[in-house]
Amino acid sequence: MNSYLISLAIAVPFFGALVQFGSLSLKNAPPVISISKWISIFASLLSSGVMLFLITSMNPIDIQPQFVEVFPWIDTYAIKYEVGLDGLSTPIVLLLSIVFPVLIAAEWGRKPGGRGVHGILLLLQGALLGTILSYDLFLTAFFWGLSILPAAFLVGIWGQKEGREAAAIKLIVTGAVSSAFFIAALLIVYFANDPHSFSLREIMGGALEAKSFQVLGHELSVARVCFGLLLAALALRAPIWPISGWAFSAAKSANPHAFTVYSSAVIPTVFVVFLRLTFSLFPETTAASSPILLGAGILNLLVGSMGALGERRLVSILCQLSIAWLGFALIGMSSLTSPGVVGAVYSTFAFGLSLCGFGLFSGVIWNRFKQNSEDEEEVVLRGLASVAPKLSVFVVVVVASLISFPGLIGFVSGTLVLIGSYSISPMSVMIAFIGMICLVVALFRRYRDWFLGGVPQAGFVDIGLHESIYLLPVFVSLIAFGVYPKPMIDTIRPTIVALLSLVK
Amino acid sequence: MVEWFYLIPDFILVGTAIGLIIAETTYSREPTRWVLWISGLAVLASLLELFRFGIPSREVTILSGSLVIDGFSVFARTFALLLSAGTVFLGAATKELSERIKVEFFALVLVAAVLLGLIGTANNLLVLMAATQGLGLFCVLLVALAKGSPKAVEASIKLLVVQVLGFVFFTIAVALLYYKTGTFDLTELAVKLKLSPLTELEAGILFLFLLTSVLASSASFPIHFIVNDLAEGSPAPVVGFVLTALPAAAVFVLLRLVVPLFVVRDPGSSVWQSTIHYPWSEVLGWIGCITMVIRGLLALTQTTVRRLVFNLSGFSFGVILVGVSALTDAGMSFALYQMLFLLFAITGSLVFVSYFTDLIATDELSSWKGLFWSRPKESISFIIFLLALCGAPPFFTFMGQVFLLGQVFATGRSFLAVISVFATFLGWVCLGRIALTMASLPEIKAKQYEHSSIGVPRGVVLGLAMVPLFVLTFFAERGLYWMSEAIRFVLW
Repeated sequence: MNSYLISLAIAVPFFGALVQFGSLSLKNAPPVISISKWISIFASLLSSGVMLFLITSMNPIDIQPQFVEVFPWIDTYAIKYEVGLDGLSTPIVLLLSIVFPVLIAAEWGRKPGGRGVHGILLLLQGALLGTILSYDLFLTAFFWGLSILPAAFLVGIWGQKEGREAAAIKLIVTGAVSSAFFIAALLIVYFANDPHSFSLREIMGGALEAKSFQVLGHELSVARVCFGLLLAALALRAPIWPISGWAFSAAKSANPHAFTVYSSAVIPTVFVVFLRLTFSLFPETTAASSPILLGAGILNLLVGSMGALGERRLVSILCQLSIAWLGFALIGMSSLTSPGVVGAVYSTFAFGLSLCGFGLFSGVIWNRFKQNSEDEEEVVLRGLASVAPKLSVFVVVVVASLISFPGLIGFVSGTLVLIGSYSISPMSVMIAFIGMICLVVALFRRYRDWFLGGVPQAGFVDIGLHESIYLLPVFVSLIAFGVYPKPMIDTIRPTIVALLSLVK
Repeated sequence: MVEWFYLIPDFILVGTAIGLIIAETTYSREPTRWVLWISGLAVLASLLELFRFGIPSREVTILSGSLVIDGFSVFARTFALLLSAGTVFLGAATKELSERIKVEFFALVLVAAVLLGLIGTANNLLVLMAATQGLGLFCVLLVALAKGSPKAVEASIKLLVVQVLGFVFFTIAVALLYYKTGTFDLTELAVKLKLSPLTELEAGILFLFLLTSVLASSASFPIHFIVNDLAEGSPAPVVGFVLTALPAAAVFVLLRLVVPLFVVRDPGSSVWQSTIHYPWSEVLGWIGCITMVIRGLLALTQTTVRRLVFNLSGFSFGVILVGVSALTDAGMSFALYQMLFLLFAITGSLVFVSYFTDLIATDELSSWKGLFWSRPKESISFIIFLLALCGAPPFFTFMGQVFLLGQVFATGRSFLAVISVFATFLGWVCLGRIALTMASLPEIKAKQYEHSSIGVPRGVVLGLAMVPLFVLTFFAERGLYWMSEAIRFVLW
């Protein structure tokens, strides 16, 4: 059924971005700035609203993509515009639909270059939605590539003075190399199929497993090479230790909201794209490579959680949490069991939202003090609970969700991953527990320092109406999807089970 | 007699150029403002005349078969005319060209455009040689035009040396071919070579000479070192023209001469077969790949925007060389379409290089910091052209790159394809570097920038270049069909 609603949801943010960039040539008069802001939030909310409508209209039992739109683009070479929504993409779509309007609202008062920030956020919303909703590999690569530069610009233009340009260049280099890995895999897959096709629906199912191609006289397996290329592409856009230096560098130089885009939008999207492509195109190779994924997951979880113990800057903690979460998701994915993989996919939404909450908290602090050094932050963040009770409640919910506290969204995904992984690798679950304990210690120590101990900075005020408005959707979602995760799990599970049937 | 009508566009341009020179020598003290519009109208009239006839249903030969009007020649002449149109308007707008040399500049550009079109139209070795060397010579003259600048003189001497080198090798190759076949006519030559093929040694030597000649004229690796001298020494429109026309001429020579000499095209297959064992197409592919890498790295290390953009354009021509080396119908269609697209991308980029250089009196990248915030419309347009130039989404060059390199992969040269795919990231990094610098905060708030508009001539070029970027991307299917039509009638 071609309802065009998915295309509308992808296109509206791009139009909104065009308006933002177009308005830059107008004078910086207050009405112009105000109208631009409202247009940006309207575009973002309209896109989110359309996607929420589609998610609620989905048939959760149907494992096929729904609301599919297919148009030929360059038909001669089998390039199509093919988009659709299925259970696997639902959590990411929902996450993006919450995160971007919230971030645009959080950047409401940004000076200078507020319209630029809003424009870039809208570009990213459209590009990431396109990436996750595409069913044509070329279109996925197209949107994947489109999201690289705007994300780096957020860091390079609005980051901290020291090293922001170098960090942005690192992001562009890693992003462009990841795109090259992706395109190399895409070309190998395209030419391995006969007739050539980019359509995921046409080429999924493991037919590529038996194919091979030659490089310098050596016969190589298409599935193995492409799996490796996709894993490398993932590692360069989502921080897999030890290829995570770019993320630390970005965290050091980015402002909190810019890094929140990475941790709660870019990284989850990239992870699900990786999961979708590997499970559907190379199921046997993915199954055979699960120990590698498990190892990478354990390492990431340990490195991230232990790193969080030693960090003081909020954005650096956010970075470590992202690394730890990615490890957790990889452990779930490598389990190849229904609860494990469902948990991993659900965690993209759960942790993405929790990390967004943490990023917003960092943004609140940044907006008040514009701290640049960890020492200043140490001085400023003391005993805030007495002067900022609303903020302390918000942060306690975020922290509790990040450590998988029962009743909150992180608990559901965490439990599912651990249940799914235990039957396959009990040792990995034990190690995951160690990682989680480190996270608990790190976050509770920090929370105690920031909110409970010492004398607060004079003049620190609690969150106001504007901040409450954009923190509220995150706060409510963290609790609501923790208390009642069933609709989301029911939507994800059939698609995952269908994918796992290919693997097994 | 009717077939001569196909050459009316060329007559218009040459006539205009002669008229301009006569007028300049006769009335040397008159203002030169009208010269732009005369030149512009001549190019426009030529384009309309060219499109009036369109692609003929079968090839038409002129001058006893020395020239041939087929799909490829129409493409080559359209390319040349569009390039000259952009250069003429850009030249009129820039402050880098002094008023006293503008007439000569316009005349040289018009004749050089005719010669570039002639390379795509030649069906005779002597005509091809004359057109190629004529174009080289006119490019040298264009570079030398800014006589006051020692850098321009140095650049023109270097370019002359390189062009002479190309000329010598090309002449030896033509002599060898004549010795072997006894004809200069390309159609006859192809027939005779089928009956009596070249030996491996002959083919190897011939390819070496032709390749050296092509590389010398296109500033590809290893003769890429002249680019920075050219970029430094001459005005942006001149360098833009030279560094677009010469690589385009190299691709035209490749398609007109080198491919028919060493390739057999099986009517039932879209993949062409090399007639000799010598892996010449691989050599070509690797030269394209190395050109991509080196020009990309050179672009990355530049401190001026002008040199960065010109190296990026060379990087993009490297992609085309890699694609052409695939020797498939699809590879050729994509290569031609990509060339056309790059023409608009390069022209558009140059509009802004020239505009911003005039505006802030330097093209040092570090001086462009924060320019985005005082000239946002222009900066965004510049970034759009750069996106198209370096092959980033959402423009056709992205899919063009993917498919050109894909064609190489499809013909079994996976390693070359993969390396070339990885080289593409250099273009992205260059783009990111320029965009980040321009958009960095704090913004430039210089009052003197407030009222300097882009101007009518630059606006014309901008419109001519910007609209096709989107049209060619959205209607890529149709455009690629035209390109496949363009190569269908070539006398291969």
